Amino acid sequence: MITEIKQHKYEYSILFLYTILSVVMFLGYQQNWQRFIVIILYSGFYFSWSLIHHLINKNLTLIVLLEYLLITILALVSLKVIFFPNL
Amino acid sequence: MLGKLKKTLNHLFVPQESNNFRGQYLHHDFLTTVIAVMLIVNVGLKLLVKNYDSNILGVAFNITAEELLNATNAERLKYDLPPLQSNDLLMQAASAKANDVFTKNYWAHYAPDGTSPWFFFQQAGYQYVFAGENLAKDFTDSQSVVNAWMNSPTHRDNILKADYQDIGFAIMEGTLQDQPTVLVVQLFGRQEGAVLAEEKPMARYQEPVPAKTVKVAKASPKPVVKTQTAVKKQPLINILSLQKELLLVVLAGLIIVLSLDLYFVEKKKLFRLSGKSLAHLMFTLLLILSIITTSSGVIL
Repeated sequence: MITEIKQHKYEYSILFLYTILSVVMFLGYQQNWQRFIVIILYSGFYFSWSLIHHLINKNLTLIVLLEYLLITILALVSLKVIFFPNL
Repeated sequence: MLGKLKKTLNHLFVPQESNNFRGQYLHHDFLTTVIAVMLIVNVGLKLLVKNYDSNILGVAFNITAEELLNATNAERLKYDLPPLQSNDLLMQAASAKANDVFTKNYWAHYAPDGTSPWFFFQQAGYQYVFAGENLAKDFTDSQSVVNAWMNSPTHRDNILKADYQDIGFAIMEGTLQDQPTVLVVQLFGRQEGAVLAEEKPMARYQEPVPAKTVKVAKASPKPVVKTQTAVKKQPLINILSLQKELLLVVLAGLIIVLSLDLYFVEKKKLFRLSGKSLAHLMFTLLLILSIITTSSGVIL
């Protein structure tokens, strides 16, 4: 992990910074719709970051893409349970 | 038996040769299965709740007018404001409003036919000079309702308004926009000619909201409205918490497998062509934070 971070320090710095910003915004906002937007934006960021990271490193394959896609879908299912449990 | 369990857990969570040096939990087939199971459980529970006895499977609620009143007054006391008094007319007005919401099937302060919140005050015979309304639905306990209102500036203004003297609640269960719902109506008011018992200066709350002073209309005949001041339901299986607990188990599994993956990749200097566990881990932690700190209710 440390080696990986050292090798791609700028990419991981962006990931860390946006994650911290999202946590601060999430805890700062109290309305569910605001929190929902924070997580949706993070989902978009996570997916884009992954694509860009693997494109830069020239190792983006369908298998890798599918892994991020599945985690994003899992997150969206989670958001449904968290924010819209009655729908 | 124990050895087999250990082997399965290792295969599921620890990167090793049997799982191509990536915990089986992170494999596409496993993740797809987890997502499918979660969706099936979600839909299945809804169907079961619709078709079976709600005492066994349903949503647990414990919201009472008494608890709401105490929580509201506790917030006012923090700002040196006098406590609000429960008023029977406002209780009736709140119940009439709740009935109206369910009957006309709307989620708004104003009904689709234009009926205003103030109509119910007048209908109950409450001659107000100041009036306010807070609504909430889908909460499971009284304190979380008041907390949500306090976290919204406009609802908070109502709760902390010095001009109000009386309060009334209705807590009603019904079906709203095809969803089983517990609706909470909170009405505030001050009657014409009423004198506040104790008008303390607002020590920390510096920005009083402009009060709505309304020309008092002649009260129409009072309807017979049965007030409902509590919804307490404790089914054997609470589907809301069951879904959240299932989700927590799934995400906790993901945290474990990602943490172990990071550890073993570093320790064994593994090189694989796969997604980045650290990115997955941060996203999963954010989701867990959402589950722990978010309540399902909606306020208006």
